[in-house]
Amino acid sequence: VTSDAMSRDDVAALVCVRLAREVDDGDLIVLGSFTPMAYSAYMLAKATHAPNAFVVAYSALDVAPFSLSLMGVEAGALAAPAGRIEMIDVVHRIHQRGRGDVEAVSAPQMDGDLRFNYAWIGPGGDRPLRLPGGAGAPEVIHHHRKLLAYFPRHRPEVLCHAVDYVSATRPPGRVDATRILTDLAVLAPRDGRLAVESIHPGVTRAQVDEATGFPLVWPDEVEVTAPPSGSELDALRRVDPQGTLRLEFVDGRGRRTLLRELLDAEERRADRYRAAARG
Amino acid sequence: VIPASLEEAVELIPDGSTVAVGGAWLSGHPMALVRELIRQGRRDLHLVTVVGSVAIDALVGAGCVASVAFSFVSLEAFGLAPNFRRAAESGEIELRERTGVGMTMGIEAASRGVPFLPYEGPEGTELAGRPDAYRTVECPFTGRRLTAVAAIPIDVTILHGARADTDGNVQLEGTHGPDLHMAEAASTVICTVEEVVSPAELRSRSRAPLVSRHLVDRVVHAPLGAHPTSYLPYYVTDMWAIEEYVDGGAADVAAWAAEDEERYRDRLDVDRVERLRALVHAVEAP
Repeated sequence: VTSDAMSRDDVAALVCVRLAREVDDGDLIVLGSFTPMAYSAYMLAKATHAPNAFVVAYSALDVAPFSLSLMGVEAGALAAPAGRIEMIDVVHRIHQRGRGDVEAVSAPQMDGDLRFNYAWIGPGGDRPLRLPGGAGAPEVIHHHRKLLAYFPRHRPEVLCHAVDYVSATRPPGRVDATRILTDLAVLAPRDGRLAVESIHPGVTRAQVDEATGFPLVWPDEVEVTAPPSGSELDALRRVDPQGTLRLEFVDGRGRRTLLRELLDAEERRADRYRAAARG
Repeated sequence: VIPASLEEAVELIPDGSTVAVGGAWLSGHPMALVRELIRQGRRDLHLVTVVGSVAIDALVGAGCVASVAFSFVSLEAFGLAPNFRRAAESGEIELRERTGVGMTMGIEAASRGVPFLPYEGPEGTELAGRPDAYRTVECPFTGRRLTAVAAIPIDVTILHGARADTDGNVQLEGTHGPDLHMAEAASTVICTVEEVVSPAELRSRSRAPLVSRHLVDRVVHAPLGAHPTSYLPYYVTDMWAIEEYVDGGAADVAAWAAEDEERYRDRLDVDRVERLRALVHAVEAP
């Protein structure tokens, strides 16, 4: 790590802003499970360059933009939708018809062949760690036009040589419309392999190679990922005032401390609303 | 339909039943019924969920479960579901894992009364190699090769809804996930609701999704019946309670479920419940 390495919070903001830039105005997006990084990126895109992005969340169609918080996402989505949708209709009308444009997904493991693991960590036959499962991710990865996969911890166990279990694959025809964003770099497919598109400020080539479980293609000149602009950071603070997106970038005890901080913030938010409602 | 107590309602769920659990993520799970199943000590249940969380984890933790058909079980911000994870890793429960679409379409197939439905499935994955769930079929008209996803037969579906009338119609609000199709797929449907209203009152809100009375076998009035999961527009997910569950409740699920729902509700701080109700409305534009 070099002296000008970014803080974890700064890297989280950079990844979020970079994800948001991949959302085009009018894109159709389906919110998945609790992933503050993805939610923040979609809302940031909607609040800035992509006001017509069409977001489907919970049972709500075309949700209006709202400020994110730990306990407020469902209420925000259902506050002012254009309509309601059944889960099965999301499956048929969006996923199966290939109408989903973009989605940001993460995974416990991904390999250089764009295979994703949501099920088991550990070699076959001896599987010590059970993961939650993929929910909609396998179909999103298969069907969505653009895939944004993000990894808050770029390590060889995560961006690995071969996944321990294949939960999802990206079909050959859609491989090119894929971007991998990590806390170190941005990767993109090139001629059937993953190439480095840019590295984040303060990150070295050796650091990225060491952290990756498969060989990467390097361009002659490596770009540095453009950091967020002042106005993008301002917009992100409005979209995610509590900084929930940091949750995906902290580990272990730090994560529990941050969760407690966010739970306390929710208590204050509820009490502010109750005080205002009492007049 | 018989307005029933929780105790009477779960008599329709014998040991060994296949039970679909409504709701999705940390929203709208029929937690009062889940707690009653735990109190009654049901065994060998085969659970069906699309995206499950604390309902599945509590039933597994209480030793009620033989298998789980699922695409996802997680406590979201609070991480892996501890009892589910332990039982999955030890082999104590059988896992019938599918993709999210594989689960919803399996439930849909059962709701339509057909043995499978075709779709463009998760080719190249290990999940697609499970012959109990996925096989390949050829379209008889075009010859196109598709994935056939097997129906998921369901004995009993348990749901939480917003309001029921005295005829047994149940209206849903909030995030109802696969609830309507789970109800149509099952032989028996048991619903808890936040409110019981007159037929006229229910009919004044006829745009709400309906589990109609010809499907519903038992209705139980259970305010906060989805707690600690959400039921909008009544209350948001109680993440404070999910933290408490992870820190202690999960290890002693019987104590967590309390002796009955009144005692369970009495344990909740009044201020806490007011906050959960306030956060439904405290939505701000960026």
